[in-house]
Amino acid sequence: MQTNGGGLGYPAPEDDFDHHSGMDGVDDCDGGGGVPNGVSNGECVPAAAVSSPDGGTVVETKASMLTRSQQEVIRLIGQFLRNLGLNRTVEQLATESGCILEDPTASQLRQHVMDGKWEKVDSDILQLQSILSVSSENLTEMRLLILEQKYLEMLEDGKAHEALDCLRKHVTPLKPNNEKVRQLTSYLMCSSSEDVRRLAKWSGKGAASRGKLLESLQAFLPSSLMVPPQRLMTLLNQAAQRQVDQCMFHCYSDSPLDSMSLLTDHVCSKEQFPCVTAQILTDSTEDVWFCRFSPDGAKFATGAKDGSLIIYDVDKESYTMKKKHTLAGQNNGIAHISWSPDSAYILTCGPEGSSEVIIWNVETGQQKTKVMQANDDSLTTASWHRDSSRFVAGGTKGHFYQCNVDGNVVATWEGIRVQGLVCLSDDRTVLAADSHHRIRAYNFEDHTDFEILQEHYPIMSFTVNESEQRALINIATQGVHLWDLPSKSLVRKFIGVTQTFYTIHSCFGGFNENFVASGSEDCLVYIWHVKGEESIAKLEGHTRTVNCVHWNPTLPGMLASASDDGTVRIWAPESTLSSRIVDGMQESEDQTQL
Amino acid sequence: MGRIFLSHLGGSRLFLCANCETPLTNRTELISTRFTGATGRAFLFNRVVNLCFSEVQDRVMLTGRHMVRDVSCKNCEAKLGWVYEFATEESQRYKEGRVILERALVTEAESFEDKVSGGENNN
Repeated sequence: MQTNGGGLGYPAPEDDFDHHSGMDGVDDCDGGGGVPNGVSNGECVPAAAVSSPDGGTVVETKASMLTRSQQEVIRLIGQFLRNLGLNRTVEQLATESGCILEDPTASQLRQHVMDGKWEKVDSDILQLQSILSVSSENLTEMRLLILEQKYLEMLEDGKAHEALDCLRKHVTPLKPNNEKVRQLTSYLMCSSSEDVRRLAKWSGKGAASRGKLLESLQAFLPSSLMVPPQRLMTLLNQAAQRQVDQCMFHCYSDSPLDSMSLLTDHVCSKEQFPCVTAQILTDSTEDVWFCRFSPDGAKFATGAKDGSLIIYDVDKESYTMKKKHTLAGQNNGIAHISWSPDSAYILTCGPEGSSEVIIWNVETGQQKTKVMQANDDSLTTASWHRDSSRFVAGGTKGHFYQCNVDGNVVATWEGIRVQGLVCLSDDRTVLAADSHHRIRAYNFEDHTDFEILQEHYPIMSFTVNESEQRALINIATQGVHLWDLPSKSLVRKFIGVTQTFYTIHSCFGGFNENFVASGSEDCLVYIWHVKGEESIAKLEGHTRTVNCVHWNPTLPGMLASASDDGTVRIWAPESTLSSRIVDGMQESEDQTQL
Repeated sequence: MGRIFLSHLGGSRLFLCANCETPLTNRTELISTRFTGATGRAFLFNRVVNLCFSEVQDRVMLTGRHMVRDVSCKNCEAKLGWVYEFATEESQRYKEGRVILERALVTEAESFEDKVSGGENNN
């Protein structure tokens, strides 16, 4: 028999500690001595060494030897084991460590709730209230929850009269809000218990709903009394999440614990990350100024200084490209390429002084139409609206047009020298970077505009991520800046890139758009994780300035870079290359030759 | 080479490179017209963009000894003038950091009035 020491008047707990464990005479319920005000802080009880039934000596930990956090850990383990149903291990644990795994009152409450002894539950709560000084609103809340459970169970059992009684005598005096009373009364009208369950969203009388009730009661009680449910797993999930957050190359989307082993810290290797050149496209004879994947990730376009537009088909298995069209038409060179959101059309713009924007049909390679308003126009950048039927174009001479897919200018905005354009997904707002180092939002429909952000040096180019929360801006001589759009604040400046002379483009990309890549005048491709200023990778290979990089929107492992050395490199994870060698594919050699 | 980045100061009356029409500066940046360069008349401007600078040189001019850098167009490398980096005489200090563009090497052009809310351009 467990002894009840300290005269604190607690009834002996009935569930956690097995009476016939053979550990008679162990004073672990001498708990009175260690629990002055009835609330167990995991405090432990002095325990004597005891002989186990088989004659060996079990050395028991003296309570004084365990620090507070050690005691808490033991409580967590006890909870975890109990949840798994390993009850005898739990008592063994309690005995050996001398820790009370749960305050006697709390386990009593638990037992009564699970047994459905509602009056006892009520008295337990009142008892706890006086000790714990639970506020009276909270107390009322708790009692209402218990009564609701009791009421629903009565209804399920078909005891409508008692249920009504309960409502009248117990619930109403507590003065719950009217909505609640109305709701509860309405359940009386239900003809069957299935209806009750459906209406109340209740799982039915039994361990499940009672367990839920217990959890909601726990919310009102201090955690030192009852450990929050599943506490150990919660902590482990937090740790796993932190490892994932710190992992710079992380590419998986499963919930952390599923894909990770707890036995070692999680660190993604660079294997899933584009680091090696999978293919070199040498189809251009001149400097390649721009490159872009289509929104569906199936095609790829490059634009060069001699005005040639080359469209490729993407092979997502082998991470390679096959040339589809070589098109000429933009005579001064291609400074910007914009794919329509449906991947059917491409817009090309020339550099300063080019007055034409050409719309190409991707499939046929034909020019669909040109936008040419006036000979002295300069349209150097463009962006499609989400509906793929309109786009905006602009340049530094102050031309800023909204056009439709047939090449007609439908609206003009005067007075803005445009350096960069992005259309937002609401199909109305257009973000434009201008010569005053600002990005402003323009609405062509009601001709309103407002400021988004102000930089201090000229903006060369900018892009916005998929969720439209962040903008990535290349600033002349300053580097790459990350801005948060809703709060209009500068979040981060990425370190490393060299840009003093040429127009360099950067992009978001990779898994979950967690990464940022940029070209640079030192011939490297720089990659950063969105959360850190230091680059995580610098890809070598190009021999001259890398003008533009773009990440395949649908394939996180594929990155393309265009350079002044006349080549475009496709970067892929190492694993794709090794599998290629395994398959004996020598085709990659051929593709790099003109 | 890559696509050279050219910025634009804006303004309603622009000065452009005579060779390639790259915008350099505007009338509001003009400080004085009473300068002389190798080709004749020259203007002193406060801010000028799209320039390339040479190595610093020690030159003796009408107004005294100065350290200057020759400036040329970033786009076409045509010679345009010079920038004062250091003036040995106190009275000439006001020129420091400012750019001389020779009249014959630049073109003037009309443009539109900038609408900048709040007035001043930054930087």
